Amino acid sequence: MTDNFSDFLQRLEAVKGDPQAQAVLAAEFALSARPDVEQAFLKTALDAAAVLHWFDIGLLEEILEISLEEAEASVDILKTFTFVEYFRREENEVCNIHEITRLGWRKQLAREDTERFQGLSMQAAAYFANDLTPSGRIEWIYHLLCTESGQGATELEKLYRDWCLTVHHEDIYGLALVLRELEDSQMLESRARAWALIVIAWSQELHGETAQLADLANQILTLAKVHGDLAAEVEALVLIGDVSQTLGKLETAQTAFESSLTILQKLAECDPGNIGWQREQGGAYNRVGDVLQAQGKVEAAQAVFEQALGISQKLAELDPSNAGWQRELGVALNRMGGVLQAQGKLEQAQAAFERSLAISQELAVLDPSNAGWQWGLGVAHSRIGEILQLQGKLEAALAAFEQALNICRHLVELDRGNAAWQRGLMGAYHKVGCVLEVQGKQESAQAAFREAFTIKRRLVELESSDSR
Amino acid sequence: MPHRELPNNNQFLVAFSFAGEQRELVRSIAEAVENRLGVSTVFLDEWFEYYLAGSDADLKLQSIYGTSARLAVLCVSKRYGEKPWTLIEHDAIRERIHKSRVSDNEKDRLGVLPIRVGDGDVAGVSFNTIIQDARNRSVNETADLIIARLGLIEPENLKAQQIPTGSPWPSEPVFYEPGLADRTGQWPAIQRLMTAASKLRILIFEGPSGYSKSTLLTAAARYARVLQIPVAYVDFKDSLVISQTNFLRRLRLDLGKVLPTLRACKEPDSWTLIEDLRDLSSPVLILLDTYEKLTESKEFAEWIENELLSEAEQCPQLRFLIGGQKTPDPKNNTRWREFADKKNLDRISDHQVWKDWIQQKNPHVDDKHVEGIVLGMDGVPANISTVLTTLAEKLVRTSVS
Repeated sequence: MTDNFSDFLQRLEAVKGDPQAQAVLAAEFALSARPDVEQAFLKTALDAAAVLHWFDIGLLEEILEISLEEAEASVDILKTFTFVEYFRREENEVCNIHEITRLGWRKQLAREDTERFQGLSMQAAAYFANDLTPSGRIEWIYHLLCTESGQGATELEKLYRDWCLTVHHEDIYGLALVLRELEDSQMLESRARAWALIVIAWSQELHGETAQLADLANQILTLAKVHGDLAAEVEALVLIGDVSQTLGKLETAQTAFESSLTILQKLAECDPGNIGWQREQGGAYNRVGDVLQAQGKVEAAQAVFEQALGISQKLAELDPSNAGWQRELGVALNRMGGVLQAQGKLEQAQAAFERSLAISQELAVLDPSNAGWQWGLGVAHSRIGEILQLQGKLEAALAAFEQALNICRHLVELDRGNAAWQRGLMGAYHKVGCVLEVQGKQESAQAAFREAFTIKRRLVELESSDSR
Repeated sequence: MPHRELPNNNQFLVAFSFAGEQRELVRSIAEAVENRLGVSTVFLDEWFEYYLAGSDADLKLQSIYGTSARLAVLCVSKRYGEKPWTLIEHDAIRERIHKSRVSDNEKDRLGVLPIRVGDGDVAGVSFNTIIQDARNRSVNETADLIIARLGLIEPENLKAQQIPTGSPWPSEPVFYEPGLADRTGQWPAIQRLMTAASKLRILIFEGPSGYSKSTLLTAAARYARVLQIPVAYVDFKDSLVISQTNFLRRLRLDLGKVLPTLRACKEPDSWTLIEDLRDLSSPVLILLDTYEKLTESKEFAEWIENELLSEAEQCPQLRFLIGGQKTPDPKNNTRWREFADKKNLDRISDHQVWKDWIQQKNPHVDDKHVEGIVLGMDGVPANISTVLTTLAEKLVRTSVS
């Protein structure tokens, strides 16, 4: 015991200051205290458990290709270790290796027995391959990225494109979380790393942190160029454009967006059957148009928006059941309506907004739980209201603004902490108030303005209490 | 493994005898029984390791299972008859059964209750004995069975002993040994949070991985169960609960009995939750663990911090305990900061603290070993406790063999 213990302390000394390595040594020590006959199969089980985020008998049985009895025995013993925790996942109790031990054990396994690590990861990826739920997709891609990096990068890119349009934000955050873990563990390289950083950046954009992403965007661009991944290069340029636009650097944004468009045009020419490139081109045109419009170049913006609209229309007609493409058509129509409105072409603007509204209404019925689509519907009503108000059609404008108001109220009831929705609600009350004021309905107008003011106060409170 | 004080004259109401492979299930049942009967009424070996450690463990166990415990629960499984320690316990129980057959007191014959926790048979438990299968019932149902059996043996004692459900927050902390090393600042704070007069309603622990956050929250959950306080434990390491919808479903699952409108909802929503929280007439504890996983999900985290935690102001019966590597900062939240406290967890590098802790598990662990481990592990509690616990168990096994 004394010799073994001295040896243990010496090994501990060698990893001083590295809590993950220390945790691994602690786990190995606990393992060494088990009877000799158990140690080999427990080590095997621990390797698999550390590869996974959580485990149960079924998972170990599949990943290790062992019998149910062996899996049961392994889990029973693993549960006796202090570094194994358990929690409820839906109705089932599952286990996990405590984070500090898990990350250390994984790192050691990946370093000292890469083949085994990749083999287990591959088994884990195969286990989740048929789980098409968002959490299943996240686990699948996480394990795939630990095996064959190239295939992992390709699948991550596909998942990113699929999810861009349809998935709920919390699923994007979940994906970014596991990718962050891989990035922090330095387990990603080349294209896989580029795409992981793209998703992480996307998650941060959703958080409203676009302005802070300059360094990350440049890092992605470098990785993409080094590894010859044109698609990743496009994403990096778009991100640079978004960051620049947020910071008010419109010319830099325009250059970045136009560069992304150039690459996309090349990609589309090389692969004319690839609908994805066409779609991306539509997005790039919209971004260029936004910047031009922000610079006051409305005619140039309109020309570019027309290109984007043409692409969106073609895709929407190609597959009317594709909700994401329908939404993109709605967004393209909104942009067109906005630039027409800016030029005083109100009837044409109204036509564009009404088409966008029809699409938004269909989407909102399709998935009432999708808050983003509900928001889009609110925006569509609001844009129409603005046009009607400019045309002097006050009753119709009021009706449109009240529709927008009801949607914003509903969204805020769902999540009062969402500042963007609170701002939308404030804006909706304000617009309603303005119309009522013009109509001479002073009391009602004042009531609406008071609501707007209350929300403004609440927003100030939220912003002062929110340190993110 | 939190330890309990020994009861007077070492007289337990219930003692569990089982093979280690079924420890998880048996522990759950034992905890459920203890929740109903009170601390220090139930014997489970891990809760009294400090008492058993030493060369006379076999005699102590024979006494507990043979005579001291009013009811011995024999947890039947194949492995039960194959282990040295369970054989000692089984011998005592078999002797008890034998004596009961010749006793005039019918209650003696009720003093051993076999329950099945695994496949296989045990020598001495005959084929025509009806053995209820704990694997096919909920933990509470098995606990009900044990309590009901105890009620046949000790009806008066049982009535006096049971803690009523729906208890209020206690006026003072109740004695409870959480089995934590050090954390002398943190555990009393948790107990004070869970009193009626507590001004604080939100307690937050922040620290790196391995710094006992989950250990503190788990101990708090156990303490709450001893107090008969409904608890919801939401661990955000489960990615599925990082959505408001699933979070609300989890709260409904754990607290449905005290949140009736939420329970009745087809799909739980945040307004119904808040209405039910404001109607609370009895205590509720909500534990949020691995909070750093939530911070990635901005909208949901904002709802928790701006809406849910704010209910601490409106609901005097509500308490929150939060643990994570990143946690909300009370200073940044005007609506609940005066009801909250945040504690940063530090390393535990004091050798004496660990020596005192491990002494309770096994007084034979060498002090020099403790010092070496604490130093080598840089005071990181999770790593130290893994190694010391292993050492202590190794020494027990060595002394038995």
